[in-house]
Amino acid sequence: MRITWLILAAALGGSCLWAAPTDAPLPNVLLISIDTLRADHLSCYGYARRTSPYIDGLAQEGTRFSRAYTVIPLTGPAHLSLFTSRYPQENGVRRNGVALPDNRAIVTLPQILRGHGYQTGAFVSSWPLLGRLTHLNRYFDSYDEHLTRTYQLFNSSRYAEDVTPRALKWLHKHANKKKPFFLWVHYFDPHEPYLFRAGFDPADVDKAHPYQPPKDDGMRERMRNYDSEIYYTDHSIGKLLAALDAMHIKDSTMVVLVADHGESLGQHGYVGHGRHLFEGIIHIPFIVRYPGHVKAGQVIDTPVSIIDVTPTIVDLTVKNVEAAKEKVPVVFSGRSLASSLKDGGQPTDRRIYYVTFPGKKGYAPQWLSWMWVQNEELPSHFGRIDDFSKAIWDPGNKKLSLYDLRSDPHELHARILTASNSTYEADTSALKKWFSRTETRATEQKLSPHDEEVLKSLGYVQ
Amino acid sequence: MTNRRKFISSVFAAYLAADRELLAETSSHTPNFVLLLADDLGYGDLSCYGSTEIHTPNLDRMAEEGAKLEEFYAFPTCTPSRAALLTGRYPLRSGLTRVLAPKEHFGISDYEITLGQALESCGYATACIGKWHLGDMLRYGPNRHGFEYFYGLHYSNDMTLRVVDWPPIRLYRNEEIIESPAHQDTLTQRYTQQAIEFIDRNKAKPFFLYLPYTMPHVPLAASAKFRGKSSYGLYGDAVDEIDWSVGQILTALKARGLDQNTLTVFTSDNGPAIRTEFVKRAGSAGPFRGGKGTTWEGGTRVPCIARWPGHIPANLKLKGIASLMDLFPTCVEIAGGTLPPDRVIDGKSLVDFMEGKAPSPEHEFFYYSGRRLFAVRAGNWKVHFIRRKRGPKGHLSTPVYCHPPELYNLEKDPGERDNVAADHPDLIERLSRIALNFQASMDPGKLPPPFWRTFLP
Repeated sequence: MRITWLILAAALGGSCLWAAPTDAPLPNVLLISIDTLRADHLSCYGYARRTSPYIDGLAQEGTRFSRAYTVIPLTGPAHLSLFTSRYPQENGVRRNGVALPDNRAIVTLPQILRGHGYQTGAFVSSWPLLGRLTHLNRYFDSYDEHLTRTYQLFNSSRYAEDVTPRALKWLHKHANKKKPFFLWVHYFDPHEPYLFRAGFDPADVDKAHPYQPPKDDGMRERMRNYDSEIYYTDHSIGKLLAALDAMHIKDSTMVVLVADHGESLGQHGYVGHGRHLFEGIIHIPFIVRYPGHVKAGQVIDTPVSIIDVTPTIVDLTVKNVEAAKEKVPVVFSGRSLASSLKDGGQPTDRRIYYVTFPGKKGYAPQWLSWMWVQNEELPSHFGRIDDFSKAIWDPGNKKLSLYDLRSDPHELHARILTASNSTYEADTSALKKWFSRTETRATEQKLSPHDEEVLKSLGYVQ
Repeated sequence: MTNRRKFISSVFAAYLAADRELLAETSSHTPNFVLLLADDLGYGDLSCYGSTEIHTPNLDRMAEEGAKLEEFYAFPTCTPSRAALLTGRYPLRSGLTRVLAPKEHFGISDYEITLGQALESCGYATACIGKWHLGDMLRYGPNRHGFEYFYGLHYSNDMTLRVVDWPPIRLYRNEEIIESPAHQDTLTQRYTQQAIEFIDRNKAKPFFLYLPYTMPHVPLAASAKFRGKSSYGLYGDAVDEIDWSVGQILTALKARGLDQNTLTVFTSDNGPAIRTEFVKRAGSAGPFRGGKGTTWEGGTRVPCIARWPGHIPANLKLKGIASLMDLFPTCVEIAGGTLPPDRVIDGKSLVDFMEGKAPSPEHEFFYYSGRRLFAVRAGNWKVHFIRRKRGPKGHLSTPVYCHPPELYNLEKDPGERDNVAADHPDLIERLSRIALNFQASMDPGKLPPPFWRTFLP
């Protein structure tokens, strides 16, 4: 009898029947990704302003990773790396507007979960995540990209107040059904332009950490508006969480909250994200709540990466990484953090990598403007973190910057090594090896100069 | 007489008769109109308007042979300007208040009477050769709004971002696509050729040739003959080619004996895409502030050269407010028609003004941008109620109200540098009242949905 069952199962391959239903019911997964959100501007990450009461509540009921990092500070590539647990150069996605390759070895989280019977829904809030550009819509049952706002002429997006009701509607329709759901909601509000939201003025109420407003007027205004956007987004997240309570699925839903990258608000003389790899830009929030399975109130300080999210979710849900119908061994470049989440304790130290790729700008005389004209294969900056030692390498200018984040958390005192230093070659060789090991020649979608111009206006090009 | 002499004299008599007939034909009908509209050409982009970078000999000669209008106004962007030109009314009345996008279900209403329709009813042959930009759908096309022949594009030559699923730029002949994507390098050449062919087909009757050039709107293009030849980059090449085209058309009119009986007007639809610290060889608005898209003088004041031998005196420099809207009643009056009585026509006939016989009939201009009134000019004073601010990356912000309104004396300060609002509260009061009264009398047409909707996936 058992042999027949095994043969039957083998014949059906990795179909959902193989995931034996005798296990505990699979939890729902709510993944919230917030665009351009610096970890250190959330109150639960130590910010003196009360910007995130609901996210704070989530952290109190779950585990917060105090040192999570993105792999690339660009929305499209960061999200695709998140869903595939692969570095951008492995996916061949180095810029916004480039889709996942049709490579069977690269499998996404929604694909895996859907193969195990999950209902899958996605709600994105900005242009770089359009299905047409990322191909992510292929892996979700429904992919809502109803973007109703624009700024800087071409760039479509939407606000938290636009996306949340639609996500809630989907939630009400798909919760408490026979199959669990995987819902991904993406918020774009902290991204430029920073709009001060009426009714969302984060007052500094934490007297223990009095808020020191920046001396520079520009920066102060920027921070005020940026923080208001965070506070406004947090309010919408509160609505999602309240809905879980109201539908009595709080205990059966794993909530994962991340950001795709942070933002530099004037530190190092730079406003924005994409070009550099300083802490404010790559340090992201990462919180997991799963009552009864993930320890509440826990803080994990070991550095982790955004590419660890998918293996962790898979490990806490279906456990079986064989994506239905794919029948290929799924390789994750990230690792599962499930045991630390469940049992407590710090995960082992592991080197964290991050990278960013430049756009090459040229003057297009027929357009009377500067445009991004070419895809650069090699990163403009990339680096690694080992515990508190951080390195950022600029291979083009042969400059390696080393920071000790324990004594210099704001990265003001770099130890710079150039080609003339004796240890330069040795120190950069490990990074070089990592990159060439992970690089792939996967076919990329080429953008037309027109599309590139639009992306430039989004600020993704220097 | 011998048979031979009879033969010769009968042939000669026939020739005389025919010649008289021919002469009679060319002067017995009302004048032809040739309306040449450049796209995004600035006030300071022609040598006769002061450009030191671009040399435009044909247009300079046209100005020497006719009148140069120095205070001629358009609207800040394409569609509203063209709507104003072809209907003689403020764009808010026809509802065409913003640039239209490809595949949009919006365009010029059947209610509007275009200059093409008005002149057709006076017996004119009409053609639109170039960019239409009053609606992409065929029901909004030039063939259904007064132009029996159309050869050109439905909208701007840059409206083809794949990212928002816009199709390639298509070249139409009447209602048929003949080239997709259109090869933009040769558009000016082909427009010129089409224009001359149209003139040839219709030289025996009155005709209205409306030629809205695609250049020098980005992406710039010029044919091989002109590429790289000017000293001002691709922009100079494109403007040079337009200048050449104007020369060709004027020569063609002369060669066919139509010169004396044709009013030719050359102008632009709005201010230029101006030079910045990053972009060197772009358009110039001369001494004026701002460029395309703004309601400063640079965005709305455009060159205008009018030539009508025997009527418009040579080398006439005209000061006085006039606008694209005035061309409608001007042409209708010259054609011997009457203005449609059932609607407001904001334009006024410029016949006496252009002939140097009277000052301009216009005393005010209302700078509408979109559906809102941004500024008003009355006499030499200009008040800004709403303006856009330019951000650090060069982008124009959303419109903001000026608290208090800004006031400029265009005679003393044409560059709009000195805001003298504090010194003349009475003028602000007066101009505000003028603006309010005009607003109250305005009857807006059906307005399009917001522009950003056209970018949604």
